[in-house]
Amino acid sequence: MPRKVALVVYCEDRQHWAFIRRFLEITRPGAYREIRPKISPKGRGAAENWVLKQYADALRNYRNKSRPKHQVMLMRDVDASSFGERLSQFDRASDEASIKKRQPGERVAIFLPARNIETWFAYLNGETVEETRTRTYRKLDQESDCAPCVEQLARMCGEGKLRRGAPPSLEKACDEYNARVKGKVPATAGSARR
Amino acid sequence: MLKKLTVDNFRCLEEFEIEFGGLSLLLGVNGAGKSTVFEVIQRLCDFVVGHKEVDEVFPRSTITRWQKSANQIFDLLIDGPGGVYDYTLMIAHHPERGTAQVFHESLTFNEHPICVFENGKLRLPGPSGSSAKKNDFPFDRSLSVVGRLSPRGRRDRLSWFKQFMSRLIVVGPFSHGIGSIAHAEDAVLDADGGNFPNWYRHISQERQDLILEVFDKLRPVIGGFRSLTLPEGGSDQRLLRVKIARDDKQKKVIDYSFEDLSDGERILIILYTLLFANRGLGYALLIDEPDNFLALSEIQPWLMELQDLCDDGEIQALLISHHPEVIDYLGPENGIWLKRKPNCPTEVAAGPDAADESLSLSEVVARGWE
Repeated sequence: MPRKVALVVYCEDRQHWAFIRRFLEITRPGAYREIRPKISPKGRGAAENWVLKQYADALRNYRNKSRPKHQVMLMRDVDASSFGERLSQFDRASDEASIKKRQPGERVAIFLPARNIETWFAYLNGETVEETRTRTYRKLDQESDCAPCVEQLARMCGEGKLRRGAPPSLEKACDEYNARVKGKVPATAGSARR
Repeated sequence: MLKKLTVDNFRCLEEFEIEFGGLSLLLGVNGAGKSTVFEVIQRLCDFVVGHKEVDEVFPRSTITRWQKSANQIFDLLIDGPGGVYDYTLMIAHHPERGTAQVFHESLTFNEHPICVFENGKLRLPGPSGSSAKKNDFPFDRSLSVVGRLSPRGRRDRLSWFKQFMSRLIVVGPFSHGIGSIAHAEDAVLDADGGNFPNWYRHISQERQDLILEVFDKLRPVIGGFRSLTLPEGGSDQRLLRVKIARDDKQKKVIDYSFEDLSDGERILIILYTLLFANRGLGYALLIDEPDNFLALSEIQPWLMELQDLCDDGEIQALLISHHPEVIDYLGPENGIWLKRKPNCPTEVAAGPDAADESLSLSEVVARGWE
C-alpha cells in the first residue's frame, strides 16, 4: 500500500539518525514506512547549524493545511552552548522567518542532547554522567553501536521512567516526545525520573 | 565480507584498487567504471565456483584497450572468521593462439597459503605448513584449482572461501524479462534477475523461516500482499503466484501470476526477498540500480531496511545508483566515488566538497561534481 509519511525527522548527523531510526522502529513497529529523514548533507558531526536552518520551513510545512498531515522531530546537539540558548535559537529562527513561534500542542518536537548525544549513550550504557558544557563522552566507533542504548531507552520508556541520574536533556527529550510526538498531556517536571 | 578488490588490465580497470565497507554505494558518471567493478566480481565467482573455463570467463576482449600487456591480475581480500583471505588470479592471454591460461592462482589465510597454483602445478602446504615438492601436483591451466580442489581435512578454510564466493549475488534487476514459470531450482540468481522464479523455488525450499519474514516485510509494501506460492504447473514446472487480498481480513484473495504484477511490484518482491531471505547467512549483495522501476516513496523504506541489516552485520551490500534518493541517503557516509577520463583508467576519487550544506549531495552531483 502507498507509503504515508507521518513523521519528518531532521538530524544534524548520521549518529542522530541512527539513534532516532532505531528508537522509532522499536517503539512504532512499521515506522520505516512512516518516517522520512532529512539529514545534513555534510554527514557525521559537522553540521551544527543545518537543522536550525531547516526549522522555519519545517514549521511552515507542518502548518500548511494543503500538505499531508505529519509530525516533525528535530535533533541538534547543545555542544558548548546551553540548553536554553539552543532552544531559544529555534524561536528566533521562526521570528526571523516572520512566522509564529512553535505553539503548545503543535506536533513539532525538538530534542537537544547536552553536551551531545554521547552523554545520553554513556548514561544508557550504565555510566554515571554529568551534563556540562565541557564534559564530553566517547564517540561510538560505529553509528550502529547505539543499538543497545536505544533498546535500553525503549525499555525505560515502556516502564514510564528513566533510571536515576538521567541527564536533564534526556528527561526533557522524554517529556517532549510524550507531549509532542505521542500527543500525551505534557508531563510535570520530574515525572520522567525514577 | 568483501574488503578490497585489486584489478589490473580488465576493461577500464588498470592498477585499480577499491575498498568496501559493510554498506557501500558506488557513485560516478556514466562510463566511470562502476558496473565494471561488479562485473569483475561476478566473473571471479563464475570462474571459482561456477567452474567455467578461463577463456570463457575472461576472454581476450576484456583486456584494457590501451594496455600492451596480455596479462590480467585480480586480487580479492575478504574478511572472514578469524582473519583475512587473499585470493589472487593471474591470467596470461596468448594473442597468436587466441587462448588464455591461468599462470598463477592462490588462496591464503592470514598470509598462510591454503593452495597455490603456479607453472602448471598445484602446491599444497604440507602438514607443518611446508611446501615440499612432494606436495606438487599437475593441474589444468584453464580451470580454477581453488574451485576444483576438494575441501577436506585441514582445508576447511577453503570450504569457507568457496561458500563465501557462492554467496556473492551480483544483480541488476530488470523486471521485463521476469516471468512466472519456475522450470527448475537455481541456486544462483541471474545478473538481470530473469530466473527469479527458479531462484525463489530454490530458496523457498531451503529457508522457509526466512521466507515468512519476507512475506511479513512485503505486506505493508504491496497493497493486499499475502504470500508467494509455487503450485505445480505440469512437466516438473512450478508457477510463481502471488496472493493478493482485497482487505485486511484476507477475504476475496486473488491468486495472480507473478508476471501479472507491475514492473515495480515485481522488483519490490525481488529486493525484499534479497534482503530478508539472505540475512544472517554471510551473503554479499551487489545490486546495480535497485531503484529502477520503484515508486519514489518506496526507495527510502527499503534503504532503511538495508542499512539496518548491513549495520548489524547480517549482510554486506554494495550498490550502484544514480537516484537522488539513494545518493542523498547513502552518499555522504557510504559513497565511493569513481571517475575516469576518456581512454584512461578508472580511479577512486575524493567526492564532492561538502562545504556547502545548502545543496543536497544529489544536487551537487546533478550540477557536475568533478
